[in-house]
This record gives sequence, C-alpha cells and structure tokens, in this order.
Amino acid sequence: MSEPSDTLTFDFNGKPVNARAGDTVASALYRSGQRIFTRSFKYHRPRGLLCLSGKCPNCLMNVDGTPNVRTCMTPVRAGMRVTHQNAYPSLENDWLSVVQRFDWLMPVGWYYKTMTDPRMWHAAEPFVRKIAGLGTPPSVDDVSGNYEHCYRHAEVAIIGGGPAGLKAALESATKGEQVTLVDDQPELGGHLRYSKNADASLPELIARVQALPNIQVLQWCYCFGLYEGNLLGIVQPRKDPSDAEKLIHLRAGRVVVATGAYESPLLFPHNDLVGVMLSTAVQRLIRLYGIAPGEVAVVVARSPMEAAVVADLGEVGIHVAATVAPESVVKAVGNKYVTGLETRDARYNCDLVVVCGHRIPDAGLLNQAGARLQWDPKKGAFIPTDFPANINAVGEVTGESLVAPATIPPERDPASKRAFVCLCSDVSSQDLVDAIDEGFDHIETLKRYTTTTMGPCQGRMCQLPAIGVCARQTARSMGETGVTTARPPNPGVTLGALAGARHHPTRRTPMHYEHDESGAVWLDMGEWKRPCYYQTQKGATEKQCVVEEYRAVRERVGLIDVSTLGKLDLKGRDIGKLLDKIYAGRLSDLSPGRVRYGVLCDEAGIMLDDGTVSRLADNHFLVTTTTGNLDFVNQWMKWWLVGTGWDVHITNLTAGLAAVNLAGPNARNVLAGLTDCDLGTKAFPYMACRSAAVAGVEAILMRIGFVGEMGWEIHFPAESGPDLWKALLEAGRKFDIRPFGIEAQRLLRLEKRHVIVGVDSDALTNPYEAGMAWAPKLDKEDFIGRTALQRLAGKPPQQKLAGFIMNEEVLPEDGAAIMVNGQLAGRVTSARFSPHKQKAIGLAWVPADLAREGAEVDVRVGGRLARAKITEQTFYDPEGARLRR
Amino acid sequence: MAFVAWPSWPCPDTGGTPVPHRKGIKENKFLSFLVHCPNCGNRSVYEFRFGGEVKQRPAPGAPEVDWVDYIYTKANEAGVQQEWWYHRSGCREWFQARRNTLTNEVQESFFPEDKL
Repeated sequence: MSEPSDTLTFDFNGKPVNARAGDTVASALYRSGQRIFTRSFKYHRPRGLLCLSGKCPNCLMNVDGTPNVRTCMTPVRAGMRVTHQNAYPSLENDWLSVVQRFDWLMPVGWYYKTMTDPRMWHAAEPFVRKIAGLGTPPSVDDVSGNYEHCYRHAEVAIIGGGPAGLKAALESATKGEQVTLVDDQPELGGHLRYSKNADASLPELIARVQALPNIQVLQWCYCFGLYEGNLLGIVQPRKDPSDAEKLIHLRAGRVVVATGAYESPLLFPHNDLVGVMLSTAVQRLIRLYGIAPGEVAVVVARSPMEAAVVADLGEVGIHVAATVAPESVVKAVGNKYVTGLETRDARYNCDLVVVCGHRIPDAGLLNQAGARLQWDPKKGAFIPTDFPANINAVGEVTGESLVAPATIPPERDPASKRAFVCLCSDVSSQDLVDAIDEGFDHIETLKRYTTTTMGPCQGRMCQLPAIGVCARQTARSMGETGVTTARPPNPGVTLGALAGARHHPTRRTPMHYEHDESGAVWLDMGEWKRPCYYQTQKGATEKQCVVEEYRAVRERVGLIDVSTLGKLDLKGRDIGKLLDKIYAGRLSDLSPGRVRYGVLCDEAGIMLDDGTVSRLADNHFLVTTTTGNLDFVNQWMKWWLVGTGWDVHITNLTAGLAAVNLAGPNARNVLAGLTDCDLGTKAFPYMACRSAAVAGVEAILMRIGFVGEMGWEIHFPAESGPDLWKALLEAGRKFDIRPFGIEAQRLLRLEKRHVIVGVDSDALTNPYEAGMAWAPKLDKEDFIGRTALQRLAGKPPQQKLAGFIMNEEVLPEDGAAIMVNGQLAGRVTSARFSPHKQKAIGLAWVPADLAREGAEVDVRVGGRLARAKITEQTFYDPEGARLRR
Repeated sequence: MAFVAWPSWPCPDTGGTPVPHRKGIKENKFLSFLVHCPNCGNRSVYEFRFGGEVKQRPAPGAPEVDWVDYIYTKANEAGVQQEWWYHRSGCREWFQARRNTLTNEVQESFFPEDKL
C-alpha cells in the first residue's frame, strides 16, 4: 500500500489532480472523485472502472497526446496531461448520450441493413464518425522520434510476474539458463499483490528473483503476440515524455506462459452502470491504492469461496447489504451511477455492486502460438491444450485451481437490450439473440456480424458471455460452440510502436553538396537523392530550367552526375562465360578498351535490366546497371555462378565510384584541357573505354551517348567526386557549361528513343516488342531466356513500343491511354515536349499493326482525345552522327 | 450422379464426412521463423531473400514443354522441399535449404558446391 501523502499533481481536462506515489492515472482520478472514466462507443453510456487490470475498455483516455491509453495500467507522473475521449461537453454530461434512446433505430447489423447504397454511407459517414468511436489520432508532429525497436534474446522467456511466473523463473535460472521475465504490472507479484490471502513468502520470492543476475525483468512491459519461432512482441511504454516507447522483439529458446487468469463480468440488465465493479478491481482499489470504492455494497457471487471479498470490504468500512447469487439478479438500478440491485426476492440500495465474475485463463498468447482451447466443464473454462514444442504454461492459465461454478454463463434468460455483452462496442445480449435468429449462429460469424470480441478489449470481457449466449440460443454445449480465434496484437499496440523510429535511409552522391550549391531541385529515386533540375535563377520555372539545360547539352556542353548507376567490377578468367550466359547479347568477344550495351532477360525472355559492359583488360570488366536494379543484378550474377566453378569475382563498386556524363558538341574541348588522353575519334572512337587521369584523378572514360551527343561517361574514386565535378565545370566555363538534371536527361534520351527499362518496359516486355530485336544473339549456344526468346522471335508480337508525335499542341501525361476506334489499345510510357521537333513526342505501347510510319492513334489528354502520328524514326539525329564526331 | 463443380481432382472419397485438415498444418502461425545460414547460423527470416524451389534447368535443346515446366510450374510442395535462399542482410551468399513448408522448420542448409 502506498504512503498516504500527496506527492505530485497532474492535469486532467485542464484541472490539477493530486496523486500519490504508486498511483496509476485511474486510481488517482478515482481518489479525486472521478467516477465516470469513458463514454461508450455507440450509446455514450457512462462507464466507470471495471477491471482495473488493463483488460476492459472502460478507462481509455488520452495521455500526453496518445489516445486510448489504459489509464489503470499507466503509472502517474507529475505534469501528465490527461483528457477524456468521445464525450461532449463532459464525461458527466454527454449530450450524445441521447443516442441510446434511439437504439431501436440501430438494430444489430445496422450498417449492413441500412448502408445498402454507397450514397447512404457517404451521407452518414461524417455524422457516424463524429458520434461514435474512440480517441482521435495524434498529429504526425506529436509522435515523431518517440518510438524505437530493440531486439533481445533469451534462453527462457516467462510471461507474467505472478507467483507461478516467479517460481518458473527461479527454477530455470538456478539451472543456469538466461531468463527474461515479462510482467505487465508496475510491480512483480501478480494477484498476490492484492489478494487477502497474500502469501507471506512473496517478498522473499521477489527478492530472490531480483538477486539472480541471469534473470532479466522487463517490468511494466506487455507482451502482445507470440509468433512463430518463439518470437515475442513486447511493448515497453514510455516512462516520461522524453523516453521512447519501445517495441521489443524477444526471441526465446523456450517460452513459459504464466499469464494467470482474469475476471470477466456477469450478464444482467444494466451491468455496465458506474459502480458495478469486478471483485478483483475492488480488491486492487482497496489493497494497492488504499481507496474504499463505496459505502454500501451488494456482492454478486456464485460460491461462498468467491464471497471472501466480503471480508476485504469490511476492512475498509464498506457495509455489505447482501450477498446474492447471479441467477437471482433481475437488474442493477440507477441512472448513471448504480443506486441499487434488484433480485427476484428483494431490492437493495447500494452504491457499489461487487461482481465475482467468471475466472478465465488468459490463454490468448498460447492460442496464437497454436495451442487449442478446450472447454472443461469441471473447471467451467476453456483450458489451453496441445502446446507447440518449446512452449509451456504454468499457474492459473492452465486452469489449475479453477472450479466450475454452479451456473455456467449466462446466468439467466439473456435477452435484454441493456445487458451488455460487449462493452467495447455496446453489443447487448438482445443483439446477440437477434443476430442468431438472423442466422449468424456460428460463433465466428456471430463475432463478425455483431463486432462482439472485436473491440479494444479483444474479447477478454465479452468472449465467455458471448459464447454462453450463443450456446444457449443454439442449444449447443459450450465446447461445441467453441471460441473465436485469438490473434495478435492483444492488448492493442500503438501504430507508432509498430512503425518504430522513422529512419529513412538516404543515399547522397559524392557531389551532393555541389548540386545543392548550384540550386538543385531534388528528386527521390529509391534511396538516392538526385537533382531533377537546377534552379539557377530565382523564380525560374521547371520548364525554363529544363529547356535551358537541354539547350546547353545540344548546343554547347552539359554535365550530369550519374553516380547512382550500379557499378559492378568483375575480375577473373571466366567473365566472358558468365556475361554470355546472363546477357542476351554476346560479350565474350568484346575487345579490351571497348564498351557494349547489354540487355538482361529472364528465362521467359522478359527484359529485366540493361546497362553497359566495358572491358578494361582481358580479365577485368566494369558492368553498369540501372540505379534501382543493382542489388538484383548482383544477386542474379552470383546465383548463376553457384556451382559453375567459374573464376569470376564480383565487387560492388557503386558507392566507391563516382560517375559523371559530360556531353555536348564541346565535350571534347572541355575534357582535353584536363587529360593527356587522346580524345580524337580515331584514338578514342564511340563505344570505346580508356583509363586515364582527368584533372589528376585516375578515371575510367567511356565514350557512350545516352543523351545523343558526343560525350564521355567518367568513373572515378568517390572521394574525388567534388574536386573533379568542380574541375570539369571550371574547364567548361568558357564553353558556357551547365550541370543538367534527370528531367533534361529524360527529355534528351527520349528524343533519341532510348528505352528506360522499368519506365518504358514493364514486367511482361520482351526485347522484340520493345524494338530491340537486335539485342538477343540467338546464335549463342545458351543464355538465360534463349529458348523463350527463340520462340518469341518467330512470332509477330501483339503490341510494340512505338514513337509518336502529337498533331496538336498538347502534352499527354506519362501513362495516358492510347485509343483506337474508341477502344483502349495501349498506353503512353514517356511523353515530353521536344524543343527539337517543336511538338510533344513520346513512346507508347500500341497494337503491333499500328506500329508503322504514319499510322494515327488517339491519345487521351486532359479528358479528351488528341491525334498522334506514329513514327519509326528517331526524333533526333537518326543516323547518330553527332555521337561519332 | 453427383454434380461436379470443378475439374475432377483426384479427391479421396470421404463418404460425406468433411475432410479434416491436412496433418501437420498448424494454424495461427505468423511468419517469423529462423533460417540457418551455413555461414552465419540461425538468423531471422527477414534477413533473407527467398529464391524459390531448387529446379533442374533443362538442357539448351530440350523440348519446349520441359522449358515451360521449368519456367512456370512450381511443385509447391506441402512438406519438405529444397529451396534457394540468399542472405541479403548478412554474408550475401546463396545457399540451399531443406525446409518443411508446413511447419517452416529448416532441416538442413548448405552451399550446393559442398554437396557436389
């Protein structure tokens, strides 16, 4: 029992409330006189403390911005901000409680019966959202950064810090095992903390557990799920606002479930009135918090043993008016607060009804793990059996001390509009009876139709009464009726805890800050940040900037950072064999110093990736992949290498190498000032590669032309990234060089009809459809996809990727529909306004018979159709003369 | 004659009683098992990339039907099957494992080279 001195204050609905050390938010509020803690989900009925053990939905409040916090499980802290939920203007006077007068308008299955037309729901939704429900979610800013995940391991994990759990922990720990004990209460001890017959050995037991170094106690941490491979999901709430709420992934060799048994309510009319409490809750209030929860009490008990709680009541001066059997109860009396209890024989005035409810083994975790719940009529409970390997249960959860009461629920004829089975969503026994009459007589369909056992309590309060009503109405036994399936999370977990800390891995190229200084507007490409375009002048639009960058490349010279390309360094004697096997083209005959374009297909002939393959030396290749496919290509190569015995070593140099593409008519002039390498077309032709120093940095130069101008792709050590970038821009200053971004690059390549795999192609595209029939070399003996490609090569494709030019001054969006005779016939994959053609151009999938010069199709642009002409020509420099100059 | 609703699978005649769950299928299981990497030991399945069933690639000139079978047909074994796994967040190596798909128990894992 805590010291009777007020030591701290916290804020409840704007008013200060005094609390003692050891209090929970709920106990402090109760001591301050608060009796109504929540208003119910649907009818806005007043609800007060019921279980005081975190099992019922009656004390959910907003604590420090987090909604639906179980205040009976939350230790109080100075300065906490607590507010009520789902009641207006106050908990005591909630105008919306008028709803319960219209309960006849809301029969069971109300949504299914009334919302038969989407328009009905759209009309009703705003009102329903306001009237019904639980707390409001916090804003994103309120929760950022306050969540963490952590990973732990244990030889034995024990769930529950009651006597059985403590004993199990000691037993394992003395054998030398590493034990983690998880307890959801603020202190160890379980029911011995508050029951009258408290075992005198408890403090000693706790002391022994705490003294052993190989027992780790996770106090006030609740386990919400037991997953495959003995993985436990555990939440550690935050102890103060600066703390992080932790999700602990605990992997255990063995799991011992010692979650005990809990109490669930009895079914009688008005069983939800404020002042109707479970006996364990009353005991907790008296013994843990030193609060007498009333003056005159009536005890509803099914056996004299249960009535032992009467002695506790007497200790704190509560007069017990009567002890009655559940089957004799007619109803509880009262408006908001209970004022009496009516039985068949008498009516008692009281301000507290102590309900000795059903004792239920807390076997949810065991059920999740695969154990069966079997009805045991001798114990009057569903008992877990058939435990999976390495999962065990001890203590009350096994039903060891349970004795079946004289009556099995429900205690009397159940049907009443005000006998609540499900407190979470206001489902009465009458609702269940109606639903069963409507044909939902299986416990699982009953659950889904009425939503009973689906609320925040996850069936802890309502499952047994619901099964009882179902069994009685369908004249089946409890065992035949069965239980609903237990699934995690139980209890509920905040989404923030599941999401964890918001780490977004970001990759920056070595030249990132140079781009930033040049006014880069960033684009996220996977994990990478890439400049979309550079805003060189304030107020310049994207279009202006992109066209300016485009002009620089076409007329002068431009520089783009392509460090995000996947770069795989291959060394070994058998690289040719590997590349010939996995690329559709032939690469083994590539001469040192040459570059070739490669397409990668799968066994079905579908294009997976493309890139360049450069042979630096006889046994040394550099392969580039598209930005997003690096990991895939790397794994693909490794996979095909397994078991071949080929001499190939793959090193991923993506992060180790920076890369730029210098392109434009003046590219040679810029580069010539920085390197001794002979850049003349004879010495360094198109599709050649050389190793040379550029501005003093050892680099690999490849003469390739994605953008359609003379240019060099330069790969060099990442640490020299900023230096070489600056040196190239400096050398290019007299040619009015411009850095260009992704958007200009996409426009430039589109004019050249270069396909971007994954943008212009999809998961079913083969090279023949994509207009790259030249890529697969079917005369190679064997390569991945050869059989499929051979078959595809002999068959005319159904659709083809074709270039088009819009007839009018409109620009279709990427993905716009292609229509032929009013029928959907394809889609645009890329479309841009071409400064060269002075028209909108693009690539689109069209039926193969239309993929010919001069054919016309309709493109849907802004809700109407516009004509476009198909062309087989490359839009810019069809001969590729500019590349080879 | 009974109405056949679906192409006639070879179904056991149960004489009208419902077919019980196949033995060994555990309900209420949530994917979180451990995979034994030959290099790194038991690690969470989330560290791995699943590479599918181990299949024999047909010879280059094999009949088309063999290729179709290889590319598109999965045995989808309800029991122990041999699979490819890649330890993505670990040693970055491909290996094979024999896993019971009903219980997710990984019985054995090895580098294929070691078995050749």
